[in-house]
Amino acid sequence: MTARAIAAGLTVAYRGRTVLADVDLEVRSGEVLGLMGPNGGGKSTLLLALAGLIRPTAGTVSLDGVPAHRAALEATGKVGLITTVPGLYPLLTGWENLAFFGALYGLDEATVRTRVAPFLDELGLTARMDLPVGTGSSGMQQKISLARALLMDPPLLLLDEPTANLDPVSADVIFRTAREHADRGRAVVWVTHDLHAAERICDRIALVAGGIRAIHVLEGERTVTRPRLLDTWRAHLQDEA
Amino acid sequence: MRIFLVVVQREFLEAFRQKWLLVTLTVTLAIIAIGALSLIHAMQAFSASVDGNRELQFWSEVAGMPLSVETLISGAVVAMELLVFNQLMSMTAVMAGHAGIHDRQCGTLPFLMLAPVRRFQLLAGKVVGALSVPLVIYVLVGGTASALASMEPLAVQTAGVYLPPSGAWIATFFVTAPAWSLATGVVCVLVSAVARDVRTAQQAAWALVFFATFVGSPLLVLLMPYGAVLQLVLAAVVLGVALVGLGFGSWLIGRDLTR
Repeated sequence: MTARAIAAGLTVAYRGRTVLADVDLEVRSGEVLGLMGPNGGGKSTLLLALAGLIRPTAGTVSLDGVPAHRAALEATGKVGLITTVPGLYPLLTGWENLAFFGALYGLDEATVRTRVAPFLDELGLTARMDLPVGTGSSGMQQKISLARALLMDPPLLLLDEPTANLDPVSADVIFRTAREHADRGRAVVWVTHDLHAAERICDRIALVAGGIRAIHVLEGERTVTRPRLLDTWRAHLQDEA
Repeated sequence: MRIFLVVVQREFLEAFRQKWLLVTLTVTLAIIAIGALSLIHAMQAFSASVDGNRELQFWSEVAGMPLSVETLISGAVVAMELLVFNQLMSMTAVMAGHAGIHDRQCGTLPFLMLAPVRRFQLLAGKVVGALSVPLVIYVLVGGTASALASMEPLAVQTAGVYLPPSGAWIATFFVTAPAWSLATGVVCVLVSAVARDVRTAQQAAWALVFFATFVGSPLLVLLMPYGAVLQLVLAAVVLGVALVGLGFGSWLIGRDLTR
């Protein structure tokens, strides 16, 4: 497996507070890497840093050898992202939102529709895509946001709690999509609070609390279970205290 | 250029779907136009009648100052043009003042930063997009009002330089006023982009609106008698200011998202 994203000595601090300290992390092609940890532990910050949207206070983040903060302009479509906020324009329809973001990457509307229509159909969203997204539920917006993230078939897919607002059937589609994406040689980072989801989808799980406290490798028949993850978590956080 | 047009198109589409915005802007301009045109037409009629002149004399005594048909007509024309320019600048400023923070509110900023979009293209697209809807309504309603006023012989006689087809009016209406609105929009977008919340963005934008529009629209009207060339020079100066502002703003919004 080759490393898609590499954080080396990554430190992020703002307003006098260090959120991440000295993070060394590789995100490899073909894997789903889980990020778990306490609230405010830096998971979302790490995700945004991997996307190149936050300049490190120290250290580096690179995507396929390109510094991450330049990756957006130099490496079109290398990163697909979902944040906890769907990030859509409420007055535009689902198709118009996707067409706009697709146009930023040079895709015409027909190509956008061709690429995401099967995925949206599987999620039962097709009938709602001509309505303003502001009239839809947060779950619906989350699904459209994921469709946007997959638009360019990115080598690195960063997902911040992608199944948080979804019904079980839709969540199942998301799990399957992320797994298929990784199995095609891409890399997926999945931030979650849900141990069940982490066990189900992740190949490795990093415990993030101000830095990387531990990395669990889940392999074989997923014998690394929730109790073991929780024990590790408690142990590290108690050390902090 | 393509990215710039994509951003403009989206801003235009969102603005166009805000029906109350369209209604407010159109009705405001229409009220200005109807008020001024009614006064001009009434004065035109007054000037032709003996009763009208007696009426004017009465009102002059009431006001304590000489009122003449010519004074009132030229005053109405100048006020109409001043208010029409003011409306374009104000609405552009208000919409631009929201445009910057809109992406932060919607949560779309990270996705825009991930796309191969230069900050300059994004900012310029937002400003032009903010100007687009007010500009269309301004041209349709304000332009029609000015054209109708120019059909009144006394209006042309007393205030022709402030009406079409004078070169000064054409330069001011189609170049300088939009340029000034664009520059005001750039400043408001910058304020909006660095503001942390909607309230701060709106308050700062309104403070700028006051100075920009109440300085801008009288200045444009005052300079109209001096000809089209001066208007074009003024337009070039404010466009230069707008470009500098866009460059500075590109640096501002290029900072990391956590600030």
